[in-house]
Amino acid sequence: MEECPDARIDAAATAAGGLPDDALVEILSRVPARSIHRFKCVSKYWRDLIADPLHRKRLPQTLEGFFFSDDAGAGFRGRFISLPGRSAPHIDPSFSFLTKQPGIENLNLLGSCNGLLLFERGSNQATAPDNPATEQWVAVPGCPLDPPTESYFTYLIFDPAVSPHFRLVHFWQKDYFAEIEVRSFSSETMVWSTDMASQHGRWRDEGGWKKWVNGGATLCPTWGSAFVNGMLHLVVYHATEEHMIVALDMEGKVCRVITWPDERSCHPFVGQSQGRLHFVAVLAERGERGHLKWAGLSIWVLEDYDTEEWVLKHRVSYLELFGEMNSLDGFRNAVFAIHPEQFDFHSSGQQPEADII
Amino acid sequence: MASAGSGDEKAAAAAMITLISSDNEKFEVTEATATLSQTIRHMIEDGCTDGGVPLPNVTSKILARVIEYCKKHATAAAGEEGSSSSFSDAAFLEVDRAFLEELEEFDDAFLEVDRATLFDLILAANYLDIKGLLNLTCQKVADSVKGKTPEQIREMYNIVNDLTPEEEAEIRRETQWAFE
Repeated sequence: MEECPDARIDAAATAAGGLPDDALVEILSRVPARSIHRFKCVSKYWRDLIADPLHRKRLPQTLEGFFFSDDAGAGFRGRFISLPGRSAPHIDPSFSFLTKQPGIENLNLLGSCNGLLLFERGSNQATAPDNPATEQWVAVPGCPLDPPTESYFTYLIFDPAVSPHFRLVHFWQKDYFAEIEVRSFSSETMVWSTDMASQHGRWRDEGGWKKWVNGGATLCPTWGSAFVNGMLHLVVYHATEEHMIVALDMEGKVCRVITWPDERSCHPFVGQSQGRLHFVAVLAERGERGHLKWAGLSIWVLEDYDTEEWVLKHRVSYLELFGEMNSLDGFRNAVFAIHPEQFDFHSSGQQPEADII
Repeated sequence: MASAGSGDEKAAAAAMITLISSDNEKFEVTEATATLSQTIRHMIEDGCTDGGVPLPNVTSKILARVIEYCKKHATAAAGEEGSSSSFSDAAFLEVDRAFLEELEEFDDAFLEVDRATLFDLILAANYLDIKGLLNLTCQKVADSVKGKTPEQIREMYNIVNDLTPEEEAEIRRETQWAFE
């Protein structure tokens, strides 16, 4: 209150520049995305204000198109499909700036998080998160877990509004329903968590994995993951408790188990939109004689994280989506991503290794 | 609940707040009107409003407009009694559509101001934390800028383009679709 510069000074003279950032963001949050992107050309101040990750959540975002890998067993072949009426953004979907690097021949796309992509190089765990828009990339040393096994999954955690650093959480399972081991990597320190013995014990005993190992659980990496409330959410299949959503902290420790909104659903997919956990699943309702009455997707939102209140947001029948009701084959229609800012989900007619920015 | 008339008057008198503009003009308003501002609401809760509330960021001209807005909208929120204690859903429903239409007309007329005044109202709404007024004034500016080109924005607000031609070309290349 004591410090009271006359806010009127220069307000009209420098016009929009005279408004505090907060007020200008208030205004821009009410302007269509197309206009906002154009306004980056007004001046440096406008460009930086609009590009600031702190404001991104408040400003309208757009869906540009789909980025995916059309590998069909022959290595990474990145492609981009723009939405109708949009020209392709200025990125190189084949990521030739990466494949030109010595020692990087085969790329495999593992995942994405808030604009960063995670690739696997060659056939082991060496990974390279990069930003397709700026073509910046970082090589990550392979995870020290050995020996290599078929069953390992690496998740990328990145939220530019919280930290410029990313993290990786790496899971390793020797066998179906065998013990699960977890390692984490931070781009700040550039090292994997190494204290294998104690970490191993911690995850098993404190982390909540204990009751699932030894005939317990298996991870379901194709069923999506979501970074919400500072925690990574994954789907775990448990032999007796069936499917559940598990929330992990940055180190991979289990903090919470969230039950599914609808036990009848199958082929689930978890994702994040507008900061909340979303759940998309196939639901089929059959009549008394087993004939198909309704089949389609149901989309749930975790409205209240603390009380686990799921709210059914949409139901879309296969009839509306594909023109036929009998599309229950989950391998033909799998959900791949949920748009992080506006609710919008995308499914694919095939089952390639795919991901979307 | 006070039953005697004198009690009511006392309560009403106690619920008056004095706002003091940057040019030292004093405005007496009811607490119901003043508390549309979250900033003032917190000051009242903290008991810091004795002797008036100085608002060094707001001129008398703008404060008069802000109070005009708050009075109208406080009445809307409180039904016809003009007091927050009489608020009830039933009273609000009574007020009904006609009043909401009147309120909309009021808002439209309220926004018929020059740009400098509109910006001053945004600054005041932001500083006083009056959600409805901030929404109203920001929406007005948003409607006036949407669909415009960067050149038009610079012209409208006398902004000097300090981007180098290379920087501008890069932005246009990255977001080509937005310029089509």
